[in-house]
Amino acid sequence: MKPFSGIGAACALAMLATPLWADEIVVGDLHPITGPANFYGLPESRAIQLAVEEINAAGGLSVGGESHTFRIQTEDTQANPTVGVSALKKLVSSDVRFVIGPLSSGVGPALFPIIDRSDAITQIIDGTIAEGVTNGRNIFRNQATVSQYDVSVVALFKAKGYGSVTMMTDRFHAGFVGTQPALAASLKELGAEIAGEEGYKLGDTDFSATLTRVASRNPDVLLIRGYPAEGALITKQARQLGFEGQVVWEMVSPPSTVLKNISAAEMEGVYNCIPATTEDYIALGNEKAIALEEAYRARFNEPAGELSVLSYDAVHILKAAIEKAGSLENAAVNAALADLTVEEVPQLISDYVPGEGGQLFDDKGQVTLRSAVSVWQGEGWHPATDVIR
Amino acid sequence: MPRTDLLRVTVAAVALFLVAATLALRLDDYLLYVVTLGAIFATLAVSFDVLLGYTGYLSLAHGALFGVGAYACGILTAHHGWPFWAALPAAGLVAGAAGAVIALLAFRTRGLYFAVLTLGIGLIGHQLFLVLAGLTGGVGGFVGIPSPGRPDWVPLDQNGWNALLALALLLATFLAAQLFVRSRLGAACLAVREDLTLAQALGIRVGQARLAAFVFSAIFTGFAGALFAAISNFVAPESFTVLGAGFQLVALVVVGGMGTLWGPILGAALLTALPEALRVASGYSLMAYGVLLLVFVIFAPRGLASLATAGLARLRTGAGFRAAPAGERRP
Amino acid sequence: MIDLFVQQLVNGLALGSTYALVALGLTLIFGVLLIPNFAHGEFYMLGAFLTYAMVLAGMNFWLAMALAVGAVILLGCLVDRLAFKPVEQAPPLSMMISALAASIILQQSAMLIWGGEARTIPAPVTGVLRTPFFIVTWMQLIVMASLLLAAAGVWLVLNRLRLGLAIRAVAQNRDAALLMGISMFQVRLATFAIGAALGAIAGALLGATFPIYPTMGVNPVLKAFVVLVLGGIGSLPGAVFGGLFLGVVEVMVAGYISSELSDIGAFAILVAVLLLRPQGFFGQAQVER
Repeated sequence: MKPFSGIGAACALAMLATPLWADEIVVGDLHPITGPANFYGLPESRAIQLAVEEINAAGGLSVGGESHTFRIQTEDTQANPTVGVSALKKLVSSDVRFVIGPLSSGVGPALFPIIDRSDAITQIIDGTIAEGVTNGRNIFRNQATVSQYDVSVVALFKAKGYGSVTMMTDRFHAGFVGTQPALAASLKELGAEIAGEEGYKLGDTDFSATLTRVASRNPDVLLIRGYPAEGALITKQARQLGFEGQVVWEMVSPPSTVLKNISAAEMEGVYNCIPATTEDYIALGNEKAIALEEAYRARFNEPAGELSVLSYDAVHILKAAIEKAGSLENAAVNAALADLTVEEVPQLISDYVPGEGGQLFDDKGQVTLRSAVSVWQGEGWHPATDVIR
Repeated sequence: MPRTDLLRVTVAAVALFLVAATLALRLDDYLLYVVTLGAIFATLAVSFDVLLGYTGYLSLAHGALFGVGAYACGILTAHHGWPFWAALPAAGLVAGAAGAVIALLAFRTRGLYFAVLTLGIGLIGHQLFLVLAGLTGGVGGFVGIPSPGRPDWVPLDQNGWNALLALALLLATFLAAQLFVRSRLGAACLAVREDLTLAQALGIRVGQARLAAFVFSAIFTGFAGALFAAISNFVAPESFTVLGAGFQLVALVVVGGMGTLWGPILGAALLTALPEALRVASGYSLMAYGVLLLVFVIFAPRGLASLATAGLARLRTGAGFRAAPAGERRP
Repeated sequence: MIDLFVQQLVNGLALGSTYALVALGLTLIFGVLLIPNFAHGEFYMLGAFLTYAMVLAGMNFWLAMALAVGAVILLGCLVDRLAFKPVEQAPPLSMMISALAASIILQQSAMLIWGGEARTIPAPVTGVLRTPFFIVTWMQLIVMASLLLAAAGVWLVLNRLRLGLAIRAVAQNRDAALLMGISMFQVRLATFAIGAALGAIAGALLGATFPIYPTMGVNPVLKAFVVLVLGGIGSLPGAVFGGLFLGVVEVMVAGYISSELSDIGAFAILVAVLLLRPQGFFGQAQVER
């Protein structure tokens, strides 16, 4: 008998509680909270929390004249496709219709078919850079794609006129692997010889075999595409084995992480080709980024993560779209997102390049983040003024 | 006697299947998905138990065989336009054939050597899924696998249909495994497990028996892979790693109870539900999972099945105690 | 001009000695106690993290490493007590699951303490040695030397100490050894202590060369099992030789065929070796374990 009365009580409680929650809009926060990728996922989840608290404290959202607040429901993906799918199903079953995430290139494509055929979910991706996971209908992304990273690489090669390059790509990273042929073709078009396309994988520790070969051919550029721990190690080992050319990184690599793995002296002069991240905006004196960083430190007692600004932006994009739609219906919010202009979201931290009508998203639901090339000088990255003004 | 026993098992299994299906179809989409996943892993665990529990050989290549089934189904349905119902048996056969090759290589060794040899094969398999990008989509994964076709007369949505298929596959696998272990080959497998040398000396066809067990488990692992692919519409190499899938199977079977066939179903149910239940622990969920896994192994080292049997036996002796005087009067 | 082949051979030996260093402790614990200690990867990881924490606090690297080794020895004995002792009478595979559980718990503890970010211990010795034929870093030379020292140390303990005699007796025939009055408690404690110490030494040294993070032990321990079987179960020279062999094969495949195929190549060689010599290089005629 007992369990049933328990369920009854829970139902009664839920019914009582429903009216109180009626003006709450639930945002599904879908990131790796545990597992090896939580180092990236947790700062995204926390930035969403900060943005939501900030919005609620400032009076919440106004939708068709009524005031609403955000509530977050966080579900862990562990950066694993199967865990990610069940996390999404859990959100959908608890009637969450707005989702921010995921982080990993493995989870994004696994969620895509489910969200793509649903008309009751709106998704803003703030993490994965893999191609082909947005549709411009109900799936949008305010993170760059790998091909936008590649644009910066091409810009660097154009400016410097390098003659040859060896690429080393993390072959467990779906995004980088996916654009490798296109990037190689673009560089070839600029007249750079592709001296080699090498692969390694996350967690590899020894690159000497490949680098010995690289050093013996001595191309102008060693281009490393992946994560900073391996990037640092490859840079170190390449120098030790006598590689003398230019090292170019294409990866999210905050100086604090870089310096945990390689000395500043060994990094001097390395180029990095990706749009700016949290630490860059702070270094550039972006006030909103500095405010986020301060709030983050005060709350979590550590610096914000490199992708935190994107998650923060995503919440504000969602808020602006819901207010613009004047409705909580997914179809209306989707249409508002497709129409949204950069100017309509003044809280945005990242540097988005507006489309022709000022739109934030293109017809595929993808933003364009301003491409950038930075160079390592002293203790961190600085804009490479000799490449891009 | 064995025949009536098999009949009883079949009736019980079908009844449990009907109960499980009826209950599952009342759940919301999320819980339904957990049940679907649980049933697929239970299918894997039962077929794995036929090898591990009945011959004693520990294979770590089964994560890759699971992948072979999944990719075979994906390639046949998405690239060649086969219907799911034709791709499912084909995927089982492909995995069975791959299993036969692996078995012929690996059965030259035993014990830990066998485990590590199959570990190597499992790692090669996972790497091949990455490297053969033309077939598998590489690290980006295999996109656009159609869902299993649903007849018009079925009054279920796709999620309900998926769950029903997964439970039905589990039932079919369980019954097939029951038949297998009761066959002459199954008996020979047990002899292999207990004493290989003695079995050989007695003229039991050891090679044939363990090969049959390996291929049997590979075929059903392939079926499970095919269904997993069709239900997910997308598969990536990450799902078929030696650590994530290969060792997970061992955990399901050991936690459930090796060599019982029904124990692994309990193990799969528990180890699929547990991480979902632990979502509430947020950042501590993996830690809690590790601690609970350790606790289960320490308190039920022979698996949940042994706990359940002991519990039943205690109930029965309690009942038998009261009935005893009546029995004693009989001559 | 540096000779490519010689350089690749040196690369391979350097990589192989890292594999062998991790495999030594694993092979000892497995050879003597028949415990498939997956948590060995976490002994390795904790050796690295504890050294890192103390070096960061300003301590000398070698002193930090010694203290870390001591701490990991205690932890190793604790893991044995909590995770392996309780399932001693259970089927052998239960031991494997409790080892997996122990490694999850240790990884997550490290995750909660240090977070998942990769970092590298500031190396005590930097720079490279350039010879006319090849280039090698001083740190790599230290790792190779440590491998030889560690292998020699374990050999001395096993062959020159009374305790070592007891350990070898247990490894050969546990029941007979117990009948002879050997204290299983002591042997078990000693084996775990030495095994854990070897793991921690490997972690501290390699953490000064490679990035460290909570799941860093997972792949090395898989490789170490491969090395264990390549060399022959329970054989110390086998572990050293197997590790070096695996390292050289991986480097040669990556260097002369394709970096994409280095794993496939290495494991294909493993399969080939086991098919030709099912008991590994140094294994005795096969005994069912």
